[in-house]
Amino acid sequence: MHSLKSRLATWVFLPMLVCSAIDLVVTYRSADRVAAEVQRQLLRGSARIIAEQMAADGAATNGAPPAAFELFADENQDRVFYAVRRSDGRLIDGDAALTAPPLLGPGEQESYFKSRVRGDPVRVVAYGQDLRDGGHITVEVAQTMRGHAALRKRLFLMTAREHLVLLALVLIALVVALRWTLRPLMQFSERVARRQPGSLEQLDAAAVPRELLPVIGALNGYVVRLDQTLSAYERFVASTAHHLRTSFAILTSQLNYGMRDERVGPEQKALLAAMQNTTVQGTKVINQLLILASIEQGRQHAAPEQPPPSTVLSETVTSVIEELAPLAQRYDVELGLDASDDGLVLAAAPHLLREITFNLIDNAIKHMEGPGSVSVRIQRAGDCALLRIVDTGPGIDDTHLDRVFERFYRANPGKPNSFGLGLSIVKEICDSLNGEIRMGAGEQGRGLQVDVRLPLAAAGMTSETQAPSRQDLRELS
Amino acid sequence: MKLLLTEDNRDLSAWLTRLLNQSGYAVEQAFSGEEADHLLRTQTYDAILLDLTLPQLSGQMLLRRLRGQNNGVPVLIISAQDSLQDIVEHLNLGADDYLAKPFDIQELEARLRSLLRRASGNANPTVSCGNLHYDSNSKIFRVRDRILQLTPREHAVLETLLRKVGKTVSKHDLADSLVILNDMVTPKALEVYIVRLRRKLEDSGVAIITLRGLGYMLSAIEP
Repeated sequence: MHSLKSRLATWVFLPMLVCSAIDLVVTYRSADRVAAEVQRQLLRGSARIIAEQMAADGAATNGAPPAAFELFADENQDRVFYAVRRSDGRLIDGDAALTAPPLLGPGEQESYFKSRVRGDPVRVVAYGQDLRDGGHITVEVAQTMRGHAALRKRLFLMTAREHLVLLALVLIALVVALRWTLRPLMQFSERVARRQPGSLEQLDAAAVPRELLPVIGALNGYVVRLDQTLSAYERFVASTAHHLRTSFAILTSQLNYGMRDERVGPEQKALLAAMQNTTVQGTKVINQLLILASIEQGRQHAAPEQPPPSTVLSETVTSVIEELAPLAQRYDVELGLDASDDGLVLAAAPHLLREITFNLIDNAIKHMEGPGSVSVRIQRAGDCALLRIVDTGPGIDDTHLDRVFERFYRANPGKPNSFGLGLSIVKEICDSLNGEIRMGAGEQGRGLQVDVRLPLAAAGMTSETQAPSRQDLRELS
Repeated sequence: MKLLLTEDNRDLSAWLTRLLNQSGYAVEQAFSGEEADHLLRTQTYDAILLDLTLPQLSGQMLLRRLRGQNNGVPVLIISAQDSLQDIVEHLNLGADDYLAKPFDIQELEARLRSLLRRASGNANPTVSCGNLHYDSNSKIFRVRDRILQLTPREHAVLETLLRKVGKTVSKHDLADSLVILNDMVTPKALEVYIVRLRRKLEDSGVAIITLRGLGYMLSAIEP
């Protein structure tokens, strides 16, 4: 993982830092050169005054004139030395500690060099002067380097400060530019992040920088391939289901035939009936697996162009209660709808709502131990519809409560004709509808209470567009 | 009764044919849409059992063609595709009923009977639920072959329930059904009739189920 921003920033900052370092070195050297030049000018001026005095006085001297040293400001406590020598090297005046200068070449009037006087580094000028008597003297003036260093420092800091200010300005501009340039990229990633999970929609290539087009192209290509894969998966599920159901249909016909055959004895008929029961259970599992597959497909194919389905919850629940009434009768369970808000419309396919309701009530009835009651309530809870199913059965142990929604999990593995898929289907449908399901003990800690909360359809949607429920179909047939 | 069974799976077709023959139906088998189409041009049938996934000409196409020719022969779809959307689609296309595979032969025969009865025009005056039968001409209830003796009020209640078999009838609607007898019925009195009816319907394989908050419902129950 790396950030494009920091990578870009690093690759701009690093060269800038190197350049700045080089710039500082160059600045330092030029400050050094300027300071040296200033010092040289002073030394030369001073040497000239001494030399001219010497020339005027002849070789007999009264020492160097004070004017020669007034040039040097002494704020840096620099020390100045001088020495006057004849061309044969004899010291006429000044400080013997000053070493003899290298010989000036013919016609050369001055030269500069560095030396030491009593351990202190100095810069020295040697200035040649002809005397009237035809003789020749060399005047040396030397100054310690403190003033030079101070000037060099001042010059360096002055320039460096300006450069640093400039550098800071460039950096600020760079940060702003990075933000601004990368904003479309950030907006693009937000757009991708906002997509519905499972969305197979193509990304719009309009209004994005040219540089992002390959990314969008690649993403869209991926979506197309994903769509193909999913379609293949769907076809696979559909054809598997088709084959299994056909096989079960043949098996059922064969069993039906055997059951009707007069030559088959009662024991064999009992066996055939047991086989028939197994077939019914197998069919149930196939249907449950198909529903699970269809929930996932539904999630992937939340087609935006189609209006979402809308279903009146109370109609679905009522028809499920009617469907399960004979079962409740057989289990000696009193089934009822205690409260029903008939105005609650959900943006969900009716068969999914039916699946939730059917599984929960069916479960409640079948887990009853002895006579009891199952009560259903439908009420509004804020932006949600609340479907509450309460039974007076034995309830569920806390240890199972966390796991009952797992596929193939069975709280009571000894119970026949159960595969542990019903509740996982309920849970997955709830999730796909952005709803939630809670399960716990009923009032006073007895029985089981299941609360399903499902978001209501957006206001303004009516049940006009509703697909026919199973109940309507039954009336048609 | 002559049926056309259009089913591409030969095993299933053979077994269904045997079962239906056993029940006294004459069955002709077609294994593809083309074959069925051809047979339908030359023969007439009392009903068609139609699978949807057929080679060549699909069940949908066949159905559309059939209805396009104003052929009103009753069509019962038997399909392994079972989604609500499919069902709605095919009923809209002109199928008369829909049965998902696998199905029990009893269920198939019950649907067939009701289809044939409706198609014959002179709707059978008998309404049934389990072993309970009502002849609306003679106004007589029978359990198996035994005549059920009922008071006029019990009769009115049971008739209302039977006409909406499998669906709940609210107490209010049940009370309304008694108004024709120039009677105001209190909920308490209604409960009394229900209790009496239940007693008379014992061992009939039919029960009046109370659904709290909804009303009463007549339903066949397993013995």
